[in-house]
Amino acid sequence: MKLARLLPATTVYAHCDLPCGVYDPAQARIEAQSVLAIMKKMQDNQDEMFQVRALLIKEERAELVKRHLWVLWTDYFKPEHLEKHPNLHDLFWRATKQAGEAKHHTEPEVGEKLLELIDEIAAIFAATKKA
Amino acid sequence: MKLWPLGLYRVSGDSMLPTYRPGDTLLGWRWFRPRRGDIVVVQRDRPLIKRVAHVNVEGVFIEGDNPRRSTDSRSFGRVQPSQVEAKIILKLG
Repeated sequence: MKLARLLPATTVYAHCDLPCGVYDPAQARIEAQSVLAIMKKMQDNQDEMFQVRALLIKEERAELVKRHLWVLWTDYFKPEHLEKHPNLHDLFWRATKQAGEAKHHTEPEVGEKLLELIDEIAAIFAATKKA
Repeated sequence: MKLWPLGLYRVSGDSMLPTYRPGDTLLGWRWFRPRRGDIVVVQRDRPLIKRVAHVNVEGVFIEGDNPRRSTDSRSFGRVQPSQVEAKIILKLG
């Protein structure tokens, strides 16, 4: 009954006073952009030391992508989100797996695919914020 | 005893999920004594909505239905029955 929402009512708080986490898929996206940028740079610079450093940084950034996605998945999303977006679990599974792929590979397409998956998650995230 | 027995309340926050969602409009009944299992409005620094976990001579222990997202008697202790303003009897929408 939507009309009930128009009634004047006292706001009662069902809150947590602890500083709650701030959730935003942008965190994962920034790290994934970094992964993609490293992949592109690795194609342009074959210097051995550069390649080693780039690999190390890519490894670290891809791990951060996973970490940020896991936090969103386990802490932000709730069962009622899953009801509305039944592909959520599969999407997170594919995105975190893709972050693993980004460790194994240096082709920018792998990084681009990772960004696409994060954007799909971001779209669902935005939809839940509107609700 | 309050003069008028009914109160209208609107939920803000997640701590009563899955029972009540943010934005739900609830009807409360004020002429009552809190009992275990009641969902109640409690006056503190701001009005809270929580569930009565148990009641004894020391007061009323209240908890959110979604404990991971709730600040309640687990952190601030029992509340006094005089702080318990209403019990929820109906969800209007």
